Amino acid sequence: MAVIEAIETVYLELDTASVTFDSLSGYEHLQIRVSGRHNSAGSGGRTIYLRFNGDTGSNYSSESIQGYNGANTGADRYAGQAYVYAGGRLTGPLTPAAENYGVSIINIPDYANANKNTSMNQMSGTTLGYSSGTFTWFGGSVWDNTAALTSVLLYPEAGSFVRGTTISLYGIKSS
Amino acid sequence: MTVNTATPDYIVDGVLTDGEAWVPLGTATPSSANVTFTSSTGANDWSQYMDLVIIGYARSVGTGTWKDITTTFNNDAGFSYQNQHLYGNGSSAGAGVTNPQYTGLAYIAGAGATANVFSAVVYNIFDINSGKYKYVYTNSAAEGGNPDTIWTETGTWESQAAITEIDLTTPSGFAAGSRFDLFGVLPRMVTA
Repeated sequence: MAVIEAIETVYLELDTASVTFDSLSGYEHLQIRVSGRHNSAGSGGRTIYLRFNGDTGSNYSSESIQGYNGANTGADRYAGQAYVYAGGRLTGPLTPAAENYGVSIINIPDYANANKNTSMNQMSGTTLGYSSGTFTWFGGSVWDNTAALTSVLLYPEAGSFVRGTTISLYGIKSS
Repeated sequence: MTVNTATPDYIVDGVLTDGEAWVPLGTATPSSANVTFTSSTGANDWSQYMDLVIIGYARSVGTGTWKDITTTFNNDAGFSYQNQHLYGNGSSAGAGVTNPQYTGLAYIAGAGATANVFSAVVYNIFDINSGKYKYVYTNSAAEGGNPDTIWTETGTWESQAAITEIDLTTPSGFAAGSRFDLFGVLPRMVTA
């Protein structure tokens, strides 16, 4: 029995507003791996937003720490949002070199448990950015809902995912 | 060094089957200052993977409580790398960018750290066969001394070439008992 299975890899052949995974059953934990870029004009680094089970209510809270734009450090919290704010980091049109795609790893443990709110963490980063565009970022988020996850929606904070973006979903089993 | 060049388990009679998404590719137990992983054949043919992951447990023989490990790809020793890091040293946090001749910086316990303390190091290397610049995200922590260092870094190799070799180097050499395990992470393209 495979312990870590690749559930689906999405390779975007066109600019695409969002990606949804909705075949999640059969695992204990989920991991999403992203190599991505967005096309929002006039911006460099942007955030990946997530929603679970199509919930558009203000039921998501996120917290993160960052090293950015050189020697800057920061920490912030966004409560009562309509999306997971700290979903990961994308490069954008102002990021030098079109070949530069930011990376993120999103871990969603015990996602199928219907008795607990869903929590996740993410590690992500971008380099070669304009002004505030370089990031090394670690964040955690919670969805204030005890439902088992049945779908995960990912979309850029602004614009669309750029062609060439890859988003892979992995399922991790227990014994 | 052990390398897995067996016919991949997920290919049965020439047909792709579901299997482990993480494929163990090799293990290095270094006795010098350098670890080299190189793509070859069978399961260790890296052209079939989306990402690579290296999990390390290491200590340096160098003086001091911590030492660095640097990473280069495909023997490129030029100033082809860009990095943004975030760290803590037990009393404060900091960040910075560098444009050195390496990427994937990580920190491990040195000879001045508490005896038998080794450090955990994880490298995630993304989309290694794409035409994109190559990214590596590292997490490491050198504990067991004062000062300690916890370090996370996003690094970019400014090359569109597929990654076929990874070199991990620490200046004074790895201590006996250090090990690095390389895994290939498979994609799964689903047809609607």
